[in-house]
Amino acid sequence: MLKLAVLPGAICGGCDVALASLGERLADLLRYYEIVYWPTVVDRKLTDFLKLSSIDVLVHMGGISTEEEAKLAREVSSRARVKVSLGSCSVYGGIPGLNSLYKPIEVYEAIASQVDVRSKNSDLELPRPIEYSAYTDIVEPDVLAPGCPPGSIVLDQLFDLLLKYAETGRLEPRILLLGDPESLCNKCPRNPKTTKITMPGIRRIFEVKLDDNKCFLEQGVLCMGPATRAICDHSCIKANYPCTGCGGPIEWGVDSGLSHMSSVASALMVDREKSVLEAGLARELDKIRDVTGIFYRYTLRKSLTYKLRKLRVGE
Amino acid sequence: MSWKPKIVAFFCKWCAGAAAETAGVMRLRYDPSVTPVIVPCTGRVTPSMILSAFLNGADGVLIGGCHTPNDCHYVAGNFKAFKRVQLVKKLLEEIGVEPERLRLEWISATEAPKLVRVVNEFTEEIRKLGPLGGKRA
Repeated sequence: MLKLAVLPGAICGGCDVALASLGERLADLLRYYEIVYWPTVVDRKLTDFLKLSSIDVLVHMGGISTEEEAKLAREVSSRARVKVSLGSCSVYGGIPGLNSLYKPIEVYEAIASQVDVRSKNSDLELPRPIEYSAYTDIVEPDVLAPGCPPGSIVLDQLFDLLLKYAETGRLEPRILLLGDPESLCNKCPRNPKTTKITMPGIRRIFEVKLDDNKCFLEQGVLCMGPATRAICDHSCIKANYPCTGCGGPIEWGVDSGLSHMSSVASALMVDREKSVLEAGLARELDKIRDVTGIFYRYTLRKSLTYKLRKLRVGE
Repeated sequence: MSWKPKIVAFFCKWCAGAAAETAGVMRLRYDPSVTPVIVPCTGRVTPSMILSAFLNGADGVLIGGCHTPNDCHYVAGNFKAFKRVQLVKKLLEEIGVEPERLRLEWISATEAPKLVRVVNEFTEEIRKLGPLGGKRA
């Protein structure tokens, strides 16, 4: 029996649910794997788990926000043969990665002003918050499975890969980014099949009556599909909600936020550029509030923008 | 040693780039802090090229292209550049970098004196803003 562990860092629980949604396929995995740790699913104490000297597959979910999470992630990863980084927080920093624009103490104080963070029991010491990072910032995983939560393509591939590893004991290639290496738009049910998409302007989602068959960009709604890796079965888009870019960049290492910005620039009012001129374009672009939050919702921690911020504040 | 600004300038080869050539032919002088990079069209300048310039030591980025609405050799590349620059400026502001460090100007092939004026003005502005990096000085 191979040993499979699922270790949560700073998580919301979505990745747990996504992994559990493998459903009956989990039973197939149990033919080869023993789940030695997965707090949401099996009853195993952390202290017992830490007594194991080696594990075969570690699935790490969530980013790293406290000293304790960092220590655990490092320690357990060093004992694992195959390390899987599951979910956009783990791979790219995810939504909490947006707090990289602030100092850890500022984030802590903002939270402390809204909820009670003191320990009621004087014996207990709360873990110290550190600067938030992705799991991939502190450990080099073998498999990257992005998504918030990981979409069906990623989960299917992860399942196949775990089975294959159990059967052959091999994992190829070494570092593997799951999902299909193409833009989400490629197989989008709303793909307008033209070479030129024109955004009529910038509209908020509540400002338009959304047509459920028409490309979001062509309705003026910002959709991150063009620069997002195909990791899902377009579940948001099928529910008439534009892609927010949780799959991350199409290729590992590309700055997806900047690609998103570039794609918007290529599509916005291309038919009327010469009549509305710079002033008209600027007026539309000014409707985009919170550029970082929209274009870098999941990937700020891994971006050039994050590095520039660090350079600016002198760290 | 006193700090000197470093500026990366992306000039399109048809307009601003040609103006830089003309400036040379006319023996006009402009501030040596500028490193021109000639690109086929300002529409080729991606946001990641701009950020990479900043990350690799530039204190300011200048982009020079053809006049709107009808001078672009590729019909509307200059409008794409305008939209990208607008978005990047907003991004820079949000992360605490002065958006003035990025400037877009339309300079035609015949406007060598304008190119010289813009380059000198921009250098002066960056000099006033100081170095981009907190520790770099």
